[in-house]
Amino acid sequence: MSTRDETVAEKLEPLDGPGAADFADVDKDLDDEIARTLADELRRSAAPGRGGPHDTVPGAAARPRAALLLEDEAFAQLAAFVEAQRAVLLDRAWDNLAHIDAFARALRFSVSATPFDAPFPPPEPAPNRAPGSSPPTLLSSEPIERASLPPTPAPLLSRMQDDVERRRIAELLIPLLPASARTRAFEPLPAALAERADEGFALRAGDLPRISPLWSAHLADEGLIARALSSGTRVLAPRAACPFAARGTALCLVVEEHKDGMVRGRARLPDGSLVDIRRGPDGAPLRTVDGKEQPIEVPLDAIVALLLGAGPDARGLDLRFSDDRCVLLVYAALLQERALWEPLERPDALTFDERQALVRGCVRAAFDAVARFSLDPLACAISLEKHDGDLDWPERAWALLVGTGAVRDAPARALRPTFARTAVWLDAVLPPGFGAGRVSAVAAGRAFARLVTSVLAPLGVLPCSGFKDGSGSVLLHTLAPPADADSAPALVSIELATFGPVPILEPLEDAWRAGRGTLLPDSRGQPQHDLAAMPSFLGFFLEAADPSWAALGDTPDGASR
Amino acid sequence: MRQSTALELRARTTGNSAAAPLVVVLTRRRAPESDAAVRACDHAAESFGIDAVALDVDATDNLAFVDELQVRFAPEVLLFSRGVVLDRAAGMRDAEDAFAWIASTLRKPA
Repeated sequence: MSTRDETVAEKLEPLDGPGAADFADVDKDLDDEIARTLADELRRSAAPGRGGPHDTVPGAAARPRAALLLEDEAFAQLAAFVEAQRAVLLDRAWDNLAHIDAFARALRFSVSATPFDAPFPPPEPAPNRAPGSSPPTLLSSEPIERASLPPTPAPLLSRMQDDVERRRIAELLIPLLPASARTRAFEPLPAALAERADEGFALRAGDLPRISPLWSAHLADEGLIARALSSGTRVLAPRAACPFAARGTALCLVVEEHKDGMVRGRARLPDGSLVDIRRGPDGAPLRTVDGKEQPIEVPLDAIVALLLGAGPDARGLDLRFSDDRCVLLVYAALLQERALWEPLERPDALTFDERQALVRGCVRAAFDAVARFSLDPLACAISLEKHDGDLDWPERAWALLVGTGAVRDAPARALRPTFARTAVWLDAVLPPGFGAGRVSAVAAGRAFARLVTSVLAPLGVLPCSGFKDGSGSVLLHTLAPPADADSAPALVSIELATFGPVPILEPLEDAWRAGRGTLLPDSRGQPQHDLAAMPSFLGFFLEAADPSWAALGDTPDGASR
Repeated sequence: MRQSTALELRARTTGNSAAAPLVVVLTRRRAPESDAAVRACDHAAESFGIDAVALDVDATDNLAFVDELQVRFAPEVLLFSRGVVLDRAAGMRDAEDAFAWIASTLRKPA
C-alpha cells in the first residue's frame, strides 16, 4: 500500500458508524476521478504529435516541449559542440571551409546521430570502373567492435517531430554557417510564445492591444482620397500616362492639380528629375493628331484604383490557422517590447508627429515579425562556386555537405561552365509554415500582407500584394489624417516590402532603381480597400481575436454589445 | 507529368480557370534534379487532386514567361491559384516535403 493510500485508510478507520457508507461513496468518487484523470493523461500522451510533454503527476500542467528539449542528452551534446565550434570559428571568420566542416558535422549528428568526430566518407568513386574489377573490400574490424557497443540513440531529427523542437535545432546550426549564408536574421520565438506552441498558439484574452478607434477615424471621411491628392503629393499612375517615366507597369506622378475627375502632374524619373509632357518609351513626346504635345493627365479613378487596390491575393489573417495566430502573436510581442502597445490603446495625449511615428513603428514591427522570426531556405543556403586560387575548397565543402545526407543542390537556371552548387539544407530540418520557421520569400510576403490587412490597414497603411512576377513583394500606401483642422489628409509614403535573402522595407522609388517591385498587379477588377468600413473592421477583428472583448460587452441579461 | 507551354500557362493563370490551384515545375531536360522534382510534385499534387504540369525553362517560346516570373533555379516549383503565385521553391526534397509544402500553402490538412 502506498503512503497516500495509508493516509486515506487512517482517515477512514474510525468511521464505522452510520455515516461510513457516505464517506465510502466519496472515496469511490475520488478514485473514479483519479482513474479518469489518469486515463485522460494516457490518451493525451498517446495522441499523435503530443507524446512527451506531460509530468508524472496526474492532472499537472503539461510541461512545454522547449523545456523538455533542454533535458535531451543528444540536444545537449549538439549545443555543446556548437558552442565549442563557435569559439574556434570566432577567429576564423574568413575560413568558409572550417565553417562548413563544423556545420556539416552538426547537421550529420542531427540527421543520423553520427558522432561529431567521425570522418566523412570519401567522395563516391566514378561509375566508369574498369570491366571485371571488383569493388574494394573493407578490411576493418569495425563491425565486430560495433556489435559490442550499446545501441545508438535515434537521431535528433527523427525523434523530434515538433515544430518548436526542430526550430531550436535550426537555431543552433545557423551560427556555424559561413557568413554569406547568415545574412538573414532568424530569431527564436519569444519564450512565452514558444511555450504556447503545444496549444497551437491559441489566442487568449489580453494578447492584443485594444487599439483605439481614434486611429482609424480619419479613414471614414468620404472625400479623403480627393483631399489627399494635394499639390506636390506623389502617387502611382498607370504606365500609359507617360511610358518614358514608367518602371514596369506604373510610374510615379507628382500631382499638380486635379479637377473634373482628372489629375494633372509631372512624371518623376529614376534620377529624380521631372517631365511634364507625355513621352513614349524612347523619350520622344507623344503628340496629338494636330501635332501638339500632351500634358500628363490621368483619370482620378485610375489613381484611386492603384491607391486602394489590394491585389488579387488580398486577404487578412485567418485566425483558424495556427500560423496566422503565431504571426499575430509575434507582432503583438514586438509591440510590447518596443513600447508601442500603450500608445495604441491611448493615443489622446500624442501629438500628430508622435502618432505618425507610432504608425511607422507598427509597420516596422509587422515587417520584423515576419522577416526576423522566419527563414527562407534559400536565404541560408550555402553558395559554392569555383574561382581562381580556391585550392578546390568548394568541391571539398560540397563533399562534406553531401556526406550529411541532408543537403541538396538547387541548380541555377543559368548554366555555369565551372563547378557551382547552392546547398539547401533547411527543408531537411524544418517543415513549411511560419510557426515552424520555414517560410519562402513569397510566403513571407503573403503572411506580411495578411498581417498588414488585418492590423495596419485600419491605421491607414494599405497593402497591395500579388505582384505579377511572383516575388511576394507587398506595396504599402500610408494615408495620414489631417495635422489640424485647416489641413488636408496626406499620402505620406509609398513603400515596398520584399522578403528575399535580405528582407527590405524601402521607398518604392528606391526599389524601382534596384529593379524590384516593377510588375504591379492589375488594378482593374481586383479587390479594393474599403476605407469607410475600416473603423468597424478594426473592432470586429479585435473582438474575434480577443475573447475578452466580447465578454466585456455582455450585459447581465445576456444581450451582447 | 504533362509538359506544358508558356502560352497555355498564361491562359490558365489569368483566364477563368485561374482559380483552380496549379503546380508548375520549371524543368531542364536531362537533369536529375528536375526529374526528382517532377516525381515528387506529381505524386504530391495527385494526392490533393490538383493539376501539375512541367515547363521547359530552356525552350525559346517559354523564355519571356520564365523571365517575367524571375525564375532563378531549374528546377523551380511554383504553386498558382487565382492567377497569383502562392509560393515557390527551388526544387523539392522529396514527395513528402512536396506534400507538406502544398498542404501548408493551400492550408489543407496534411
